[in-house]
Amino acid sequence: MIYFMLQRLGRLVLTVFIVATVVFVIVRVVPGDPALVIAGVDARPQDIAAIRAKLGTDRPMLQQYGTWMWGLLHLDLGHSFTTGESVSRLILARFPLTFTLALAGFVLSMLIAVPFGVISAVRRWQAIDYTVMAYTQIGLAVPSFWLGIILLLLFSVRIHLFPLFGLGGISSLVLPSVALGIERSALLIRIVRGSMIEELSRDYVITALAKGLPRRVIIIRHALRNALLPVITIAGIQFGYLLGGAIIIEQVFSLPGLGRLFLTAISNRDFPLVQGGVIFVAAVFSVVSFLADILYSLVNPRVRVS
Amino acid sequence: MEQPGIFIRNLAVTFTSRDPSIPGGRAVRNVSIAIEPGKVHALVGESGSGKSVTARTVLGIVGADARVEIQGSIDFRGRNLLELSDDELRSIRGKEIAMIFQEPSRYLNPSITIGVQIGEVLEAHFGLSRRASLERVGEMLSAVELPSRVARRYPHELSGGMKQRAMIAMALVCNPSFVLADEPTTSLDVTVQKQILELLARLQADSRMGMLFISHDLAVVQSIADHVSVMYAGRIVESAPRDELFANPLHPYTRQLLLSVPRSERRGLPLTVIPGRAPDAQNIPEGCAFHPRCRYAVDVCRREMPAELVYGPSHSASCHMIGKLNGDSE
Repeated sequence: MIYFMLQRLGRLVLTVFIVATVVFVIVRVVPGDPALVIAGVDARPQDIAAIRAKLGTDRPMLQQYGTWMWGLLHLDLGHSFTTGESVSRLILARFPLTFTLALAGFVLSMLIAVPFGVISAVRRWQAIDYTVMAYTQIGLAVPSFWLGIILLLLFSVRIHLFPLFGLGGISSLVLPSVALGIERSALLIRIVRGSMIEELSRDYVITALAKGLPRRVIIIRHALRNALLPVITIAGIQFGYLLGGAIIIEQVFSLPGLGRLFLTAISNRDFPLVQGGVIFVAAVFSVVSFLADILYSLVNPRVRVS
Repeated sequence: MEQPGIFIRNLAVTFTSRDPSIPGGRAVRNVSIAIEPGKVHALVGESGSGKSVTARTVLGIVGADARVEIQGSIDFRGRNLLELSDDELRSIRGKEIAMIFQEPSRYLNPSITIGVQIGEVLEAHFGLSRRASLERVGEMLSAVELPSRVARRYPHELSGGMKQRAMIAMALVCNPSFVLADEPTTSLDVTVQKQILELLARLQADSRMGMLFISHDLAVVQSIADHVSVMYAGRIVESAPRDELFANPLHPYTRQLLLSVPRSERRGLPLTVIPGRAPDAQNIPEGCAFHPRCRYAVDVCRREMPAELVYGPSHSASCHMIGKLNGDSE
C-alpha cells in the first residue's frame, strides 16, 4: 500500500512537471506581449522596455524557465503581471467557489446515475430502461453551458426562483450545479447500467438466487457492490471534467470563480497567473484521481492484499 | 421429522429463442427421477446432457434471462414446485432445498466475506441479524472443517478446496432436507476432491438429508451414490441402484461410460473413449439419441425412440438392443 501510494505520488509530481513545461512554452509561443498590454497601445518604446525588464520577460527564455521552475519547487507560483498579487493567493481565493460547484455537480450526478443506472439494468429492454436511455442520449448531446442558459431562462427569468447572476449565497449555486450534474449524469448512468448488467449475469448471482435471498439483496448487496468498482475510477476522472465544466458554467452565471480569473489572465497575457492556473487544475485533477484509486483499493478486497 | 423426497415426473425443459426460426434447445426431455428421502441419487452424463438444467429447474433458477418452457411436475412435500409463486419458491431455496455449485471461485461473490455470505442465508430465512447469525456461522465452518477466522476472509484469500468447503457450509447452514450438488468436486485437485467427497458423504449421513449428486465421473459417483441415473441428450437412458448399475450395466452408453473410467478390476486393460461428441440440445438425433455413437445401432434405433423398460428391482433402461447384447463381454 505504501509503495502504491509513493508510486502514485511520483506520477503526480511528474504530471505537474510536464504540464508546467508545456504551459510555459505555449504561453510564450502564443502571440501577445504582456508589456504591451500593460503599457497600452500608445506607449513609448522605452516605457515598454522598462516594463519588460521589470517583469523579467526580456531575459533569455531558459533563464525565465529556470526561475519559474525554481519557484515551483518551493511551491511559489510567482506574482501576477497585472496586479502584482501572489498567484497562489489569487487562485486559492477563487478556488472554493469552483470546487463547490464541481463537487455539488458531482454529488448530484452520482445521485442520479446510481439509482437510474441500476433500475435500467434490472429492467433492461423495458419502458423505464428506454426512458432512461433517451435521457442519457439527450444528456450526452447537450453541453452544460447550454443547459445552464435554459435553466436560467426557466427558473430565474420566467419564475424568479433563483438569482439571475452573481454570487448571492447558496441559492446562486443551485442552477449551475444542476446544469453540471445533469450533463455528467448521462455518461455515468450508462457506465453504471453497463457494469450492473455485466455483474447481474455473473454466476454468484445464481448462487444468491439459490440461497433464497430477496431480489433487493441480490441487486444491491451482491451485484451493485461489484458493479460500482469500475465506476469509482471513472467517477474520479469525471470529477476532473467537472472542474473544467465548472470554469465554463461560471461564465454563464457570472460567478467569480477560477473561470473568470483565468480568462482575464489569458487576455492580459498574465504569464504567471495562466501558468499557475493550469498547474493548479492539473494538480487537483491528479489528486482526485489518486484519491479515487485509493478508494478503489479500499473497496476492492482483491486489490487490497497485493 | 420425516425427511421428504423429491419426485420429478416427465420433466421437459426447452429453451426458446426470440427468433422463431432458431429451433428451441430441448435440454431436458421427459425426465422422471425419484429421489428417496435421505438417499443420494446420482445423475451422470457428459456435459450438456441436461443434468444441471434438471437440478436448477428444481429450484426455479434456470437462467434468469433465458426463455424457458417447462413441463411436467416436481413434487416436494406434497406440492408441485413448478406451480409455486416466486415468494413461495424463495422460502424453499436455501432453506429446505439448497444447492452446491461446481466452481466456487465463480459462484462465490468476490467482494463479500465468507461469513457474510453464509450468514445472509439465515438473515433471509429466519430474519437473524448479522450478529445473531455469527454463532451458527462458526458452527457451520467447523462442521466443514474450516477455522472460524475464515468468516472474515474473502473468497480469493482461500484455496479451491477451502472455497468449496465454504460453499458447502453456505448450502447447509439452514439444515436443508435436500441438497442439489452440481459437480461439487469437478474443479478441484484430485486429492482435495476426495476430501470434499468424504466431507459431503459424512454430512449427508449425519443429517439424513436427500441429495441429488451430479457428476460426469462414475468413479466419484460409485463412492457416494445410493442410486444412479445415467443421462444422455436430455433423457435418462438407464437408472439403477448403484451396485446393480456397476455390476450389470444394460445400456450401451452406460457400458461405454464404465469402460472409459479407470477401475482396479480392469487393471491392464485399455481405457476406451466413446467416439464422437454428445449432441447439443438443438440438434438431437431422431430415434435413440445415442445411435450415431452406438456400435450396436440398427435401423430401428435410427427411427424410433426406445421405450423405458424395467429389467429388475428399480432397474430400468431405454434401448432397443438390450437382451440382444446380453452375454456380450464388452
